Amino acid sequence: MNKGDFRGFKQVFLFEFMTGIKKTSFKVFLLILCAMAFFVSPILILIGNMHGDKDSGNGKKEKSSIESVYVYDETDLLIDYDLLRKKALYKEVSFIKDNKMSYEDASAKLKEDSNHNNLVIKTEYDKKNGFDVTIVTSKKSDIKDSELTKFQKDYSDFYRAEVLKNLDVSKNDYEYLSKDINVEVMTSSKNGTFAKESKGISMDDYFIMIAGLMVVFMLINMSASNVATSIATEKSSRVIEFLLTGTRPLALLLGKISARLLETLITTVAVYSSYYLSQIFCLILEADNLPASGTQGEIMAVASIWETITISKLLIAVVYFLAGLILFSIIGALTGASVSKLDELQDAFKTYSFFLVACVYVDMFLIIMMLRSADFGFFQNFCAICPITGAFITPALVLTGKISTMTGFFALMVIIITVVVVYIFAAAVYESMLLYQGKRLKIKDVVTLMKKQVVE
Amino acid sequence: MSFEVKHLQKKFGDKQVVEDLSFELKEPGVYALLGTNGAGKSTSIRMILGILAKDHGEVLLDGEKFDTRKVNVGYLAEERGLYPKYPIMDQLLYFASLKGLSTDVAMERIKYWGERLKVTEYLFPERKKGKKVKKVTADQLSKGNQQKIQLMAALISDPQFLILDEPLSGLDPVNTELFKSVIHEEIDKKKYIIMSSHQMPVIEEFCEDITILNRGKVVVCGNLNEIKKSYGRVNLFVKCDEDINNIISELGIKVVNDTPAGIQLKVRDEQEAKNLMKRLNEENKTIVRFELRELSLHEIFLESVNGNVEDSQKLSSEDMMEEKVSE
Repeated sequence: MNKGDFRGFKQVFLFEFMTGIKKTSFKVFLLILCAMAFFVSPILILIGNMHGDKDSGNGKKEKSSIESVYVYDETDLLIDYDLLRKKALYKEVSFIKDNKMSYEDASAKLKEDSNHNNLVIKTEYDKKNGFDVTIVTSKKSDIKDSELTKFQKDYSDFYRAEVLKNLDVSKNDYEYLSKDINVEVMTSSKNGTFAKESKGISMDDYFIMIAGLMVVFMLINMSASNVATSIATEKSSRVIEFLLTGTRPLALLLGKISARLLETLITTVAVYSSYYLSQIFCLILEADNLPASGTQGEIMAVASIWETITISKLLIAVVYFLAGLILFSIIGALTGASVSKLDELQDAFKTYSFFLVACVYVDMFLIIMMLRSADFGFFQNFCAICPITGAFITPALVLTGKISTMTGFFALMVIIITVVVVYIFAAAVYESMLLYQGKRLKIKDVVTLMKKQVVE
Repeated sequence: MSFEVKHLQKKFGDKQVVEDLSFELKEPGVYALLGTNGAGKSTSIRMILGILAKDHGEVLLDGEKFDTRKVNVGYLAEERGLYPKYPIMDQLLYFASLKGLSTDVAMERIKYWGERLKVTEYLFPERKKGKKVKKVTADQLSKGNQQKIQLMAALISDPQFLILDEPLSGLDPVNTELFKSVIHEEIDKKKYIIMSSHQMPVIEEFCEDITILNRGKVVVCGNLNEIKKSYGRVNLFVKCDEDINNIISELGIKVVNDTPAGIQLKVRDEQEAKNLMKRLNEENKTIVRFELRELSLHEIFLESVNGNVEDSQKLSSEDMMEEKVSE
């Protein structure tokens, strides 16, 4: 790039960037994304609070809406339900053991009863299956699902404690017995080293990866569409001829792509900053409740992902994301250059969008498969290394540690080489396409032009 | 400084769009490229500007490759182009910056050309009390005013070379005169100008040297006066109060057109015209009009493009009749 080209590139970049960020659509889009990033977590916490997901640890003594529980215990154990009533939540709940009605009658009556928030619990024991607890409630009752879920867990814990008490287990033994047993399966390699056998991703990881995929897809799509629209506008309005007298086509292309890159970087930084501020805000807002709330559990899950991030991973992910953005922007530029009128751009975008969505679907399939099993190593590596699918998912795979830093680095090299090759091929036809006026160029026309120009 | 275009050729697929175009500008002035639609004028201009690759040939400035990124060139494209939704002031500043102008210099020139072309109100809209100044975008301008902004974009860098592709097409008479005066100013500034146009009187007004292209081929090329001389003075317009058709047929002169405004004849040479004048005098006819003139550029153009002298002359005579009526 000589001095004149650099001047052209700089001026195109500045003009495109300034006009880009001045656009109302950009401002609105940025505002919506930042607002979403900032408000989603606090709103989830508020919703969680409204559903009564938190009941302890915050000092509040909430009352359960359950009025009476009819207990049918078919085991021989002595269960002291008053102990459950010691919990503030169930303080006012009556546990009725000596009900004169049979379990079936009580259940049937309960189903018709709409005036009271009552439950019927039947507990059985068989040697094969262990304890079976059935909780029956009326469809018409006001007891919320979240409250029932909480009661289910509390009852299960309480019953386990009572069982152990019946077996004369001391307090120390009880503590010992109540500890979890964590089992980890390791696989050994030929050289004698052990590696942790990977499991499928957790639900939290799944949602985070899907959300990440969607955000990256949106940013790449937006950037490539902007480049394509800008080129199609210049072709359609014939400004391109004037621009080309002072600027080389590739300097023009580089200027446009760089402006879109900077716009996307600004968007990304703004969104992540909003999200980070939102997390701080949530922590301040609910500092005391962190361990109890399910919503906050999600915050912790996000935070736990960040724990695996290292500088090298972050660097690979950022550079990879930018390379992916450049790759799809070049393809977007060719799409824009393939039309002569702005009206035709929508048609040209059909093929481009199909290609883009197909790549994202492949990545989405991988994430869904990862949720079910970890046995997709080859497919995972393929998606990460293949640049057209990797552009959307590799940064997330690197950051979450689903692929090694080495694989990430290899994938980065592959996408950089791809970008260079695509740029060289695009450069061969871009000039001719820019000045072409007529029917929309289809993929086969572009390929023919590419072959001709590159071979000649 | 000499500017040379040598043997330019361009093919689109199997179609030869430009075939061996050569011309030279040894000194500042206006060179005209003429041709019908699709003759290859705009393609030639794009090749000269380097925005379209040449199949063959070269464009030289003082013997070296002509590069628009190194030489200050202004270009007014045939297909006018502005960003429809962007403010015109921003666009002009952008175009100026691409030509290497600082913002201050660009603003000065925008002010000058804004006043000269009478578009200041759009470039510097007045601030209304209590309201934010709303910049004018290109799609808010009329076609003529958009054309003025484009001419400003071409002239903003005060280019040494000016390439004007159909500069006056679509303009009303007032703006045509305004554009003409600007082009005259640029000629006076000793600039090298290449112009293409369909309007022959415009070319005759500005250009000394021309090339006529027909389907990519150069059919006429050279100095306009010499070209005209080479065709000779063969157009004769005669009007008498009496009927003179018998004299014309006696002398064997070809009638091209006979209208109430007069008879248009095609003579073989000036002597044949003199013979007719002599006979009219001898016969005591009242001569209202007797005009012998060389072919107009319009006629030369039509003849070279169609190869049909009579048709071209007939059209030309109609023009002459119109001129007569208007007089």
